[in-house]
Amino acid sequence: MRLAALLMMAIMLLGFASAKAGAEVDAAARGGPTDDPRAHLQQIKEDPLFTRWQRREMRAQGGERSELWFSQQWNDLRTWIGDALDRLFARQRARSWFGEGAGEGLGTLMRWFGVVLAGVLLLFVVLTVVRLLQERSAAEQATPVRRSRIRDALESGEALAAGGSEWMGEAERLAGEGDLRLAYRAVYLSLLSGLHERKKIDFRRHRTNWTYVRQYRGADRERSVLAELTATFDETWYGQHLPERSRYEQIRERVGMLISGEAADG
Amino acid sequence: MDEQVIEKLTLEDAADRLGSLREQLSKVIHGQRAVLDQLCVALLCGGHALLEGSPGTAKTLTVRALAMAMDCRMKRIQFTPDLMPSDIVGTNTYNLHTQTFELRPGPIFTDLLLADEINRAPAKTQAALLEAMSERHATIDGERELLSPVFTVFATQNPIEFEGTYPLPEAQQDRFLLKIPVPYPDVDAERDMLQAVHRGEAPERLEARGIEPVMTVAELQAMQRQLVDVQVEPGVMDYLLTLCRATREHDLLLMGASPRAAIHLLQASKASALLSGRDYVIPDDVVKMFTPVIGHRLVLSAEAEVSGEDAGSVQEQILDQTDVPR
Repeated sequence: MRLAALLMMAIMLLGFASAKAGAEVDAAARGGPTDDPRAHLQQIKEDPLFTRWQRREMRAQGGERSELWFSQQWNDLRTWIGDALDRLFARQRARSWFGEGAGEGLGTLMRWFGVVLAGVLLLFVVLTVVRLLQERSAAEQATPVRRSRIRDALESGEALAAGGSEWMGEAERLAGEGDLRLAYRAVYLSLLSGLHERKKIDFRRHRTNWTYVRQYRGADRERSVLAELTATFDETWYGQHLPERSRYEQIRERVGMLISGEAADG
Repeated sequence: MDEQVIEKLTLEDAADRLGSLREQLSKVIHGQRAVLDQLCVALLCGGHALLEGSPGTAKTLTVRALAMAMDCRMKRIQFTPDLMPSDIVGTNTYNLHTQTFELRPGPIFTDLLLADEINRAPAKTQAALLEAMSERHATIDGERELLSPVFTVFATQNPIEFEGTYPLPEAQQDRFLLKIPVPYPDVDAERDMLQAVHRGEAPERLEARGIEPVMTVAELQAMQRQLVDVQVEPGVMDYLLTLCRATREHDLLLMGASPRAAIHLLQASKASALLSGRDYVIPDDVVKMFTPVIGHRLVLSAEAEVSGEDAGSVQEQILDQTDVPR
């Protein structure tokens, strides 16, 4: 409804402007007074379009406070648009006849540019908010998918499918469930993933664990820790010799130290 | 031969015996750790090995040293173009005094047999050895004669195509558990060897090298039985199988690994584990034994030969394209 009123007002203002220009031409032709604001105001008030709008405005007078505020704003906007159009036409006249008033026209253009810019900014803010909301929703849905992916990676031994901390989290979960063998596997994949991130090894799925020990890029002390951890993993995973819980905790700690580079110091 | 029967050795005892065996062999063979390991694998599996290397790389000496360190019987056959099957398995001869036929067993009736330059004998003679290798018995004049339970053939052949050689047919190559390449020793090992000779030690006199018997045939049999207890995790078993099957589907290969080859790879991997003191196989065991077990059984396609590919590069491709279980 507001939009319709806005459009109607714009049409009326355009009509008013053109009528004003026409009247000036007619008056000049008749030789009478060229511009009488009261006569124009009277013409506007008598226009049936204005009458219908006025009735609706009157009904709106009895509405809520916000409606009044909106009407006030709307009137201000209408006045501003009217002034802008007046200035625009005045500029055109000045340009065509005298070449003056170009500064006013530029100011109007700048104001329009400001309106468009504000609109674009508003649109950007709205889109950003929508996108953030969508991302949050996607993240909430992705948690089980992520876990499923880690499980798949655990099954296939794809160490790089998750980061070192994610593997450690999975290992903790598995250890909590009492599956120390699988927990060891997750810890070892965490080790390979972490060392790959630190560029100590180049993880490739066709390479054996002892290839990484031989090709380890680091201090001999670190290499010997890696060899020990690899032997323990072999024994647990391939040999199916289940470790004690305390041993698991020690191994987990040593893996953390080797990934963080503390093993060379200690 | 030692008649003692040992039911089982502990894992530590087995690793200890095998370590001692390698130590004794290294007194004679310098800088050839991989060769010694593969010889031990062949013994543990009860399989036969094809030693391939240039002349003068101590292939014969190695087998002699092995027999001495195991305190077992060893015989040698020098294969020549005029060698007959009866020269290998033996024959029945008529004894004029007793007026009966008596078996004169051939050199095949032993524990370790060194078949020197096996590709110099014609196919008929090679076939006589083939039966003995796979069935562990020999047929002489229609009579079946059992061989030693630890009968193992170490055959040598030269890698260079000499004139007058008969290449081993694929079926016969498939009977060999391993093909062990015997490379030239590295410079340090060769220097040690020269210094030993310079001191007056004759390379062929094993007694002078102080080789002692450190393992009995009964202990070897116990270790062979122990292989059954070596575990193979399902993922590792699948890995082994995937590797073997990949050879059959490779574009560059006319013939891949046979099911017997897959069995041999499994046995060799288990033996490799035992040699390392483990009672479980790891993927490294499979990778380590893949080329020695599978390499000599692969036949390249004509296109691959024309394009200059070799079996070694194909094996590397297969290993590089197969994910390791972990």
